[in-house]
Amino acid sequence: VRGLLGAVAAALVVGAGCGDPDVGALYRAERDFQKVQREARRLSMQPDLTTPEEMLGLAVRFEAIGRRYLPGDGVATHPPNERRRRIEELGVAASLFAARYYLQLDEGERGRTLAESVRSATALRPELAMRAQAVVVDALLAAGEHEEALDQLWSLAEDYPLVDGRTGELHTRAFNAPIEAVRLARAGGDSAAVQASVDRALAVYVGVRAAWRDAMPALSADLHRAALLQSRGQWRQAVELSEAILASYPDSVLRPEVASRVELSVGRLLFHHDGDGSAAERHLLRARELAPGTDPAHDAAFELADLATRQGNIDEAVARYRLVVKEAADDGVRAPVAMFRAAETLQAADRWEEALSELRTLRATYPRSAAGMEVPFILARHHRESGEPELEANVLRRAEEELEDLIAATTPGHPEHALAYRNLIRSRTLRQDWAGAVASLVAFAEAMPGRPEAAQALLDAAGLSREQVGDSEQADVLLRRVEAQFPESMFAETARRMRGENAATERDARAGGAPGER
Amino acid sequence: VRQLNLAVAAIAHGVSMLARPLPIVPLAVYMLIQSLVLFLVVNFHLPGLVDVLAPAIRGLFGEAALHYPALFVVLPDLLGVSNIVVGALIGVYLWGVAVRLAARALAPDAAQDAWGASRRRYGQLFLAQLPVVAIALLLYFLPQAVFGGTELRGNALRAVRYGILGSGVAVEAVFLMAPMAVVLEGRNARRAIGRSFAFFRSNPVAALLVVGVPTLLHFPWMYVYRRSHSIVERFAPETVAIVVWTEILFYMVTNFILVVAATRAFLVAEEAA
Repeated sequence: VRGLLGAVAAALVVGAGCGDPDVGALYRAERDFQKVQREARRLSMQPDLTTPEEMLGLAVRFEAIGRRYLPGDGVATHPPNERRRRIEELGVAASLFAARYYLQLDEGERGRTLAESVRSATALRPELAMRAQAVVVDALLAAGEHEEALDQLWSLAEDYPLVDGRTGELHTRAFNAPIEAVRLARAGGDSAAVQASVDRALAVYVGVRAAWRDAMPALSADLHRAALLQSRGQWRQAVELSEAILASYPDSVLRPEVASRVELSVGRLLFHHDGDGSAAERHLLRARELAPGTDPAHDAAFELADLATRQGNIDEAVARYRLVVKEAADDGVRAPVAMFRAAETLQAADRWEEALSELRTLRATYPRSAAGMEVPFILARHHRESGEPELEANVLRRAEEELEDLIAATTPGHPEHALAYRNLIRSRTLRQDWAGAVASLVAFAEAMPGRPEAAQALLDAAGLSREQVGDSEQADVLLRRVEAQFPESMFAETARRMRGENAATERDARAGGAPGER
Repeated sequence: VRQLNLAVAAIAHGVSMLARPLPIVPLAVYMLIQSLVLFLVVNFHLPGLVDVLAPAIRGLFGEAALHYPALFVVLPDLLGVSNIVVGALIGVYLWGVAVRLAARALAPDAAQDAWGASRRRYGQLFLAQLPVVAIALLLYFLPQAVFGGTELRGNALRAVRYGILGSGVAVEAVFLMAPMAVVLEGRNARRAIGRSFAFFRSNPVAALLVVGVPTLLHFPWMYVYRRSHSIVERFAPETVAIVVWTEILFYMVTNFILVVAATRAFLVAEEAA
């Protein structure tokens, strides 16, 4: 036993001198990071039950991990190795998770400061600094500082590597930054700035194209270039570039689904801008051939159906839509939309009985889809136009009952829940059941407390109460609720303005009524 | 029927002696040592330990096992291997003490000095258990050597798993009486192994049952370990360490039953002879 203990002690002494000290450090970094990440994942599964305090707790814990493992000046003195690189990555990831939580908690300044401190950490690898830069951009966007955000977006696009030099993988956020910058410039409404942004973005992608020749990054750059040309209205150049993409890239780079998307894009441009139906049809058919059963193939079928409708080939158009329904039966969006468009096409061609049959199938097959929920409104409109108000009201009432059942069966925050509420409100408004519409709007707002949609619903309810129900007092109560629940927001500002208008109207009414009373 | 009676009576003795568990002391010491090993493995990343344990873990289960939470996926296997090694180095001595204490409890006229006598017989105990350790390690790494990178599934996986388990039980049954022969009869390792072979030849069913029944009691843990990947993904990875520790605790109980049952079978067979 003594010999054994001696051997163990000797192994400890000998081993202590020749091990890799970063093995333990990396393990601890992974453990600390994943423990908090697991908690974050748990909370993300129940977003409605997560309190701001819990999120703040996560942010603080992530920030502490970042501080512990971000090497700062230390990295420069330590010989870089794979483990140290991984520790550094975890430190950056933790800090940036913390920064993003701060952004979500409306502590934008704190998030931005943290991201900026990561970005400027000594000797940080460019791809890690780039991730921090992306968070800085998001912080600025969240704070509404669009000009500064635009500058930082261009910095992201021009000062950091867009592509991993070794693997050729795109650094997606940085790679898409020029497109994002164009979009931001467009939102600003200054056409000269938009033009300049597009030129600058094109220059970035031309640079990538030149550096990567026929490889994947070059293809991605060309696809962005085609989209930019299209957005600038240079659709002919966009078509030429797209055709060059189709002709020049090898199959190993231009995968069938991507090629199908490019064909779809060319077909759309030719159809909607050039009016060259036969050329458009050729490209759209090619899009379907290249990647059958995929999203671009289905979208090409929609375009082909549209083309057939324009050419007066109603049967062909309907057949195309039905093909989408068959091919994309599991696609809860495209299949019902295709059925709806087939019905619309038949209705426009005065084939109401066939359209009705299509609508009934749609309602029976996809009752919870947006298109399925639209069916009662089409039927109601038909009855209205046919001079059958009783039937119109009956159809809407039945739809309302079904929508109420759907609301009861789904949880707030679920897309179908919101959709059902919107259609319920719309139906009651159509039936001029104003009190019912107000009640639905208030119930919708109560189902989603704190959400912008709730604020808008309360504002709408207040508007209907005042204008249609004639209940200014209820309107005032609802507007005060918006001010209390959404202070410092544009909704509160609108509510204040509406209350001011209400008060002025009341005063005017009283002033106008006084002489008569006298 | 005779062997069945022998095995059932021996195991029943093991269970009934849980009420006066003097022989459990050395097994409790062994449990503490195993717990310490578990603690050290789970904390291998600490300065001082990492330099010794990391190369061993890497050597046994590859670089991935040095990461969190992958360590916890391989933890049951890691502890299985370390158990074989620790058992060979320290366990044999404590097993010897437990056998002498069990013999004293079963036959009060037996020799009294359990700890000192076993310490003096440590070398022979170690040698007598060496073949079992070698075969156990071989069985542990055999599938990896035979199937290499091929991932076994379904019945093939089950066949390999139960094959190894069955082989392990059989090997332990064959060498079961060697420690008894060393500490109770004072034989050297070679003769003790011969004595154990002779016992197995005349009582194979009893030997297999005495080893197999306590082993089967560990099935729930084996079931959980097969799902250690899911546990790590769905719960806190440290859950695996807790499960391993509960098995270490339970191992003390099943080891106790095994020691008492084997000692009883040995003494009965000796009397009959």
